[in-house]
Amino acid sequence: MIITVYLYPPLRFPDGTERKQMKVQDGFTIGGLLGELKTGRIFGDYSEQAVFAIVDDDVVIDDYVLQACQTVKILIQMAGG
Amino acid sequence: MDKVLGGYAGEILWVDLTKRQWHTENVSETMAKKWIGGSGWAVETLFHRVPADADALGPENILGFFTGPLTGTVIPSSGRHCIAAKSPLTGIWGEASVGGTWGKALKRAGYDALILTGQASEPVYLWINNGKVEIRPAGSLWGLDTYEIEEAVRELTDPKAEVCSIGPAGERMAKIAGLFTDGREGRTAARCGLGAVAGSKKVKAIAVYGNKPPVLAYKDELLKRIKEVVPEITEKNKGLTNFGTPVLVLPCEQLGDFPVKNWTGGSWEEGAKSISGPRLAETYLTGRYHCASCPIGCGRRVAIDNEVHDSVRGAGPEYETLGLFGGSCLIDNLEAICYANELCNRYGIDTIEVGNLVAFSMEAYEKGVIGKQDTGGREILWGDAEALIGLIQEMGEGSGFGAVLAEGFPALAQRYGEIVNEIGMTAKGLSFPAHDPRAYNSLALGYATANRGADHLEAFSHAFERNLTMPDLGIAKSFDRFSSQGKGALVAKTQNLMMVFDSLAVCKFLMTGGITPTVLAEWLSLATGSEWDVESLMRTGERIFNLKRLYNIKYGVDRRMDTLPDRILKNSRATGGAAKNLPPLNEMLDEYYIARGWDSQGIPTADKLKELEISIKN
Repeated sequence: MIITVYLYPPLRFPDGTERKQMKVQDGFTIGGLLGELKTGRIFGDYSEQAVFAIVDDDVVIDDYVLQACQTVKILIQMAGG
Repeated sequence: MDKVLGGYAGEILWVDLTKRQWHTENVSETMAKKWIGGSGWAVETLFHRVPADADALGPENILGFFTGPLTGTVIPSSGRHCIAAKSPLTGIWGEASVGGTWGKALKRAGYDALILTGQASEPVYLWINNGKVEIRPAGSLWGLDTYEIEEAVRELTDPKAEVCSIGPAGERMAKIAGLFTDGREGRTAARCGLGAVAGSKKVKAIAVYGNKPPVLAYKDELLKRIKEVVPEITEKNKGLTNFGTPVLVLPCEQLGDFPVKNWTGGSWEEGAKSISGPRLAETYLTGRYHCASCPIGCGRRVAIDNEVHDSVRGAGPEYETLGLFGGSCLIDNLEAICYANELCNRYGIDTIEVGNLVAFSMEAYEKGVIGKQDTGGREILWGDAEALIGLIQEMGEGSGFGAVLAEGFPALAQRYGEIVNEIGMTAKGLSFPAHDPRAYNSLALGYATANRGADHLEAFSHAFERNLTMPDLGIAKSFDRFSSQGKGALVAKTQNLMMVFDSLAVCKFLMTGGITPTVLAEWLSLATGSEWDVESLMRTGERIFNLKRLYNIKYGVDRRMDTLPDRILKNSRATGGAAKNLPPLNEMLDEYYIARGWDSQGIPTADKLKELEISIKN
């Protein structure tokens, strides 16, 4: 299935873009996605703990199962107030 | 102290400004165990000593500065203290927690707290140097801004002195004035108009120097425990380290948590990007700074030179400032916001109040509630950075329409009537921070029930409606932010926890770095040598919260005041990450009062007070 991943500053894909469509397997989770992006060094110096994901206007955690055509927004973790 | 506990300095310094006398009192073990310190000591002190009919700007009011048992120690992010007084802005409980280095210096000078009573007849500043106290004339310092006063007082005392001060707005007792520390690397006790209380007492500054660190009961074990948790604190808060609190701008905007157009809009994505933390880092950021003992370091220095305004050389705007000057006023000019922020810091005024007051003015001007006859001919239009800057200059200098605004929303309501309550966003007279309570139902309940008025940090429950959990607090799973179920109990519980943070006094940003009540209890036990666990800590937090409630009840607070403006309760937004949601406040309040053990009008029951060992008699 296809999902869209939208990175917010300062995160960027290596080619400088902020939005990409990705093909993932059915049942793929947010935890899996963040792990894959981390492996691809998409987050630079940030670990998975220092970022978080929003799907359908809500914060989602690792075990959230993605659906086809969803947009996953990934931002730096909301540390602080 | 009848039994020497670690962490504490052991003495409280009382200064009678009217008589120009000072004395000290020992800290009792009972006070340490029952009220911890910081915010707990603040309410215990003020509740019993400030008369119900006291004028907040009169000599009966007390202005207290309270460190906690962890302040000034090696414990991470422990460079905090609490400042408290009856608020001249709201007329109820007034409190502001502040970081920086001043609290650490007070502790090292030998005092756990400084309590000012009475009123000086002429401007003064205090010089507290390793147990020696002087009340000195400050006539020549009156009128200096908060950057200038730090330099001037250090020249008169010691270059190593830490300085807490008021700016020109506090001198004039503007009700949106705060107390500022650390000069250009500013930390601010901004809320509740406490700078006006200092101004009423004619205290321009308090300089402190000390070199006696508090003794820790089990220092080696404590250091070992700290070493274990610091990597997690820094890793999880990396965004905060790199960008400061402005890291919140983009996620808050995405979640519908960001104030837009005086709390009428739901999204402002392009604007948010132009004033975000990463944008600030790319443009004007020149460095970072830390509060005492903090491994995070969320303070930021900015430098700007341009031809329109004076140069900026100081603390960068915090998230709250960006949200309210930016989103709420629709100003996407980051340079102008940095300048406006610096003006507020120099004048010594609260950017949260300022941002709300200016956004209110923009809407009131658009609606014709105010016009050029009120503003001295100035147009106040959405997105106009020069209007923001001009009004700040007037608020700071006490001139024009800005002087009217600087008295705060409660005074504006007396002047302009009900429209102020309709379009001025406050709870109990205190302006909303830059978090929209329609984005998290528990945040709405937290604003409505916070003792000082609208306050996102008196509960901090919305973090548990995102992705934070705390199993040792009974929160194993995060909450649905748009549900009302369980929110009463959640808010009561997290408010109690926040009382603990503010009494210890450590930074709440530790929470997003993985620090739990279990860790806090361990730290407190190892620092003081007194046994604490999660249950005793939370019970103490509950006691502190209830005494603050009782303090407010003296001023007429009950269910009728535990509310929010209709704009929040009845007007949903069309767009954004929290579109359509309206918090069911009354339903949550019912559950909250039950969770608290209060009656249906929000009054703590006699059984609850007995259970908490609270005596309302002196």
